[in-house]
Amino acid sequence: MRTIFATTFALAVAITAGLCGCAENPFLSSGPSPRVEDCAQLRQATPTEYYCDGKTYTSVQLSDIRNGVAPLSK
Amino acid sequence: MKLRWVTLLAALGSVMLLANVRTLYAQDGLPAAKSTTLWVDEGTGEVFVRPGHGRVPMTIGASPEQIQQQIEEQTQEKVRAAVAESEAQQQADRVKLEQQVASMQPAWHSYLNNFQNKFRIGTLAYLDYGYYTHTGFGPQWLENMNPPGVGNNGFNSFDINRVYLNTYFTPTPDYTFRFTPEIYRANGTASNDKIGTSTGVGTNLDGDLNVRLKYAYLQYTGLWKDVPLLKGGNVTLGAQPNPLLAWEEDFTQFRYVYLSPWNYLGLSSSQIGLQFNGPVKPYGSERTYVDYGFGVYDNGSFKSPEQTDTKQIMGRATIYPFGAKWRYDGLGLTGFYNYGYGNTAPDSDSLSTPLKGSNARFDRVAAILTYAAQEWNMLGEFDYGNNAFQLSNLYSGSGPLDAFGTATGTAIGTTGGVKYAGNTCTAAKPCYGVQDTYGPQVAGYQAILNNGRARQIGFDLLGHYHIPYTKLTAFGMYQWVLPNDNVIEDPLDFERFVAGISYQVNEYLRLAVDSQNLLFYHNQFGLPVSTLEQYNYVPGGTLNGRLLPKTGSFVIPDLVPRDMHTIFVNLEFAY
Repeated sequence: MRTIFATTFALAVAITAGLCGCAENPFLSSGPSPRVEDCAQLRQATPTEYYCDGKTYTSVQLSDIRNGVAPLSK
Repeated sequence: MKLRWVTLLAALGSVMLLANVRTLYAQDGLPAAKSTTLWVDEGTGEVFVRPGHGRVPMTIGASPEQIQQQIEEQTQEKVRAAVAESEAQQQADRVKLEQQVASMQPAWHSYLNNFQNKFRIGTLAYLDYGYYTHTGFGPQWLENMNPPGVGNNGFNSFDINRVYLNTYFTPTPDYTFRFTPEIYRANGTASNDKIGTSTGVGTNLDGDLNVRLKYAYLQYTGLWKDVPLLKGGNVTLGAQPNPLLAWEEDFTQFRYVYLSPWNYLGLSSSQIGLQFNGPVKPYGSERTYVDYGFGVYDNGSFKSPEQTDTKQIMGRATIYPFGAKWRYDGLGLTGFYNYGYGNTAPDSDSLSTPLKGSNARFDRVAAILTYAAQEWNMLGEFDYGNNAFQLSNLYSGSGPLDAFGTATGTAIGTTGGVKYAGNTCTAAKPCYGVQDTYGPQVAGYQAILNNGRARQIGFDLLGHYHIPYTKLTAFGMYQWVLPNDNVIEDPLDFERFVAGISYQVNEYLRLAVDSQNLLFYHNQFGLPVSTLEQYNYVPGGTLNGRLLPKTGSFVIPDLVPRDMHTIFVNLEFAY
């Protein structure tokens, strides 16, 4: 149990330190919406499917949105 | 006088003839061409043979150099003409060839376009590093994990839990064929090989990561295309995901970290059989109010050959009382039922044995309540089963040698006849002691789990929460299991819990750090032989060639197994 608490505490410290106002914090979301971390995973398939804000996307479509490629409508 | 005048005339003629004869030179070729230059007085127009004041040259005839130049020019002209004609012909031939090739291309383009639109390939990989602060015997955390048991604290390893290569062929919109091989670790004793009379080769059958079939099925999705209520339903034949586990794993979203409850207890995620799946969308709505899956399958799982003359059935139905806009949306109530028979050939199924083990009929039930929103979800589950958790499932990760055919500890009676626990122990028939061994305990567990009347009860709670504005998601899972609630105090009652946090690197890659724990939560105790006998423990029976305790009052001690605690870093790559 001690190990579990220590691990959790260390993680919390790391995350909190990361959240404190750094310009490019890798733990924070950034980029155009919808972002994969904000979506619900519907099905692990080829490709994986997600639901976001009323629409269904594949992992490839979300990646294209993040990279600035014109997204395909689904 | 006349003759003198004739003779004189003839002589004179001869002289005149000979005087006019010129020397005839040898004929050595055509006379050389020669140009002649005259001079013309521009004022008077008179032609002179010499240059002078006011006179310009006038050349008559061509010089050899000029003639040669003319010949060369004519020759070059002819060559140019010939080359031009050849080039023109080549151009015409090229055009013709291009037209022929162009007429062939549509067939290739068509094939490639069709292939691109009708074939998908992807991969799924679960990798991890695990550090065991406390090792123990128990079910696998994830596939291909077989850590050493009790007494190996600090064991750690990098593992490959899952590697799928998913291929989908869709020749027409209604038909899809899926083929998914996966890796697995081969475990088992194997003898070395012998070549000839004096050559040996070491075996490589134990421990290797091999490739096997996980899914291979044909799916037809046009079954209900003319029935709006059931549109989207399909029928599938082959080795396929069963109706419960794939649904539940997709709900949890953390299959790369932990197994869902019935999967942890031994229900296989792939079955070979015939299955129907689909949504029910009444009232002409686009919302799903019922989601179902049911089918008939082999009693053996995808990795064992079928032996029975019967089949098992499985079915799941999920009701969304408020309608689901997307899969799992909102409140859901799910019921699952599975009934089957032990995978045993008919000629041995009817034999009477005290411990039915995996030959017993089994069933599994799950009643599940879910709620899902876009960034969080929760699931509560009640589990009920009969003969659905065997000793082999308890030790799917690793177990004591005594459960796998090898006796441990010091045998009693090897030096001569000794009385122990109601047995007479001899060298020919030694007895199990209870020190430094798991033999009698394993025999007790076999009785508790494999007697053909074991009843499982379980309760589970799991979910996740996405931390807003971050790439982090907290997740947890709690499972409580009574492997046989017919046993008043079952030393094997356990809890499993998982807690961790995941990081979404990108659309294809996730990492998680988590703690996984297996707790046999009773205080340590033993059971007398007379109690275990109620569950078909055979007093004085034999296990691994040794006699088991026989006297009714003899207590088999230390029946509560050791806990297991592990810290993991898990990685998922999906494309």
